[in-house]
Amino acid sequence: MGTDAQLNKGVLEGCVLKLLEGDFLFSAEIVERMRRCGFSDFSEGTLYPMLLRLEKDGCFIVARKPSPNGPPKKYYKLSEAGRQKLDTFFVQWQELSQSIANVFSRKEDDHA
Amino acid sequence: MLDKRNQKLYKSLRGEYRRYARQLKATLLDCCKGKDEINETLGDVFSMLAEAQGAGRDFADVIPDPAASIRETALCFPARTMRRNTAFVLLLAGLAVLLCACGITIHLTSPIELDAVHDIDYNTEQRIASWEPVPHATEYQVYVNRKLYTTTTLNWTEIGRGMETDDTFYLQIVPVGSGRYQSPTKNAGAIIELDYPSVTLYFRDFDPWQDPHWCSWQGYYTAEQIHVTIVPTTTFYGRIQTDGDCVLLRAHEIPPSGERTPVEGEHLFRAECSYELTVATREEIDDGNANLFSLELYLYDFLEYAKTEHPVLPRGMMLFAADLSCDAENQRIYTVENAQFQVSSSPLYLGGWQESAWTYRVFPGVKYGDAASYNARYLLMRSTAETDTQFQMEETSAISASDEPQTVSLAKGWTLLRAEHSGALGQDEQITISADRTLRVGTIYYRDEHGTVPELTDQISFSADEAPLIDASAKSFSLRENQTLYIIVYAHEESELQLQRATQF
Repeated sequence: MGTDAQLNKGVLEGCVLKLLEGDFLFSAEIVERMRRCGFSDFSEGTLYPMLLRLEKDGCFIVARKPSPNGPPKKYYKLSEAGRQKLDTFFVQWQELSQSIANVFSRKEDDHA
Repeated sequence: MLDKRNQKLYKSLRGEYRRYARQLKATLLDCCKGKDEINETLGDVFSMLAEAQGAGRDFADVIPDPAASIRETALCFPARTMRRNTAFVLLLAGLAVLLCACGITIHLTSPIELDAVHDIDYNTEQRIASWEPVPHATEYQVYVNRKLYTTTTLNWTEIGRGMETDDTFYLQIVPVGSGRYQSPTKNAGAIIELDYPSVTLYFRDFDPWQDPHWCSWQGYYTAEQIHVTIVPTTTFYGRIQTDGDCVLLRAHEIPPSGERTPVEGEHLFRAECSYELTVATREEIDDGNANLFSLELYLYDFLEYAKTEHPVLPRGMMLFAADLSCDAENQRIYTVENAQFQVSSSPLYLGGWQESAWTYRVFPGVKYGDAASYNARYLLMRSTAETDTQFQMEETSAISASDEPQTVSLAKGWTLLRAEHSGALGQDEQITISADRTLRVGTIYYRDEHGTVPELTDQISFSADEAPLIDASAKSFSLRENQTLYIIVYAHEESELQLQRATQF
């Protein structure tokens, strides 16, 4: 899905947080899962600044595991702070999507 | 500055991956604070790039928008604030402007030095050197190993083959400007290390031809050069050569001490050393197909080796190809300095050598083609001498005994003494030898009228437990009709020897 980059920004971050809710994943796995979910343009170039930013915010538990083909791989999993950020995102996303739905179905009066 | 791990990762990147890594590194280190944190982030990114590169992924698929990606990453770090010395420089600049305003004229025609070239990159596979363009430079002089190699107006050039020495070369790019712009006085260079495939070969990796002298090895590599390390499991004298498609560029001997010494392709290959060769294809690689590299190993037979310039029998094992065409006439030309060795023969390929019975104990007695060496393709000689032992030729450096007592001077080293029977019918004769200094005896042997060597032990007047030395006390040797006695002696310093032949009654 070739969605506008500006539209994606913010949403992608929430989706990545969601993916890391369960198991430890490394960068290539995150990219692949995002692509399988429909974000076909999602790439490492988008992912690693995002991971860096979220890691600085304390959103991850990080582990390094040896790789047979190269340097050790860095694996990420959601921390407690990350979970809170994910919850916040999800609430905001629901509100936003509801608002968008209202606009598209012309329900502004009801909402008011 | 990158830490060591990141430098290694950075060097593993190629092409667009390398260019992107360089830009990211430069941006973060120049614009952001937190050296350790930046290094850690660069390590993560370089690892990810290396993995993607290793998986053969297209760079555009991994980083579709490099500029945005770098910008986003840089925003994660605090921006570098103005340094104190930068502020000082600005203060000075302000002062300079003030001075200008006060009437000090700066000549606009004064020369301006161009920036030096930084970030020289070299692509080993494509043999292309590239660098960041320098503002106002009209062309670049490319120096390889401090010699002008070429001049180009582009910010890259192809470096031809053969410029490297020992897998490295020194590359320096000097920008050249026109008008007021002059080349910088200080130009940093880069030592380029070439990363070629390497392979280690043992005897078992060489396929034998029908001829026991020849064995060969072949391998396919996507490279124009490879490093081959040969580890001889047995010492041998041989010749390494290549076929028509590749050439042997260099060969080094590496003893256990690790000190590399350049050697020729034809050499005494010792079992305790390894030999590193650099082999190159004659043609440059022009597509993705692998090049064929081949090596041939020529194994000398004993007589060929004995005829070389400085033949020695090293301590321990030494392997020869058995040349069955060697006849007795050839064998009598040579002998060895002492009898501290044994010989064994085998029809087996050298890679599958199994030590068989030690058949012969004295070199002149080595026979080819008898029952013990039937079908022999290889000979193994075992020397128990303390050091390398020299070969001596019978037909040179020989001193002959005569009927008259004679005194001869011996130079330091080995000398071959020869005493023939006078030919008197039915008479045994006696050779008497003494010396002013103690001489060590190497081999003692006789030849009969046919040139062959009969059993020796009962004809030598030393007893079995007597040290084989010649000194002031005269030693006597019996000589039968049609026999010739050979004694090889070693003088530790210049000596005098008394020698006489007499009829034995």
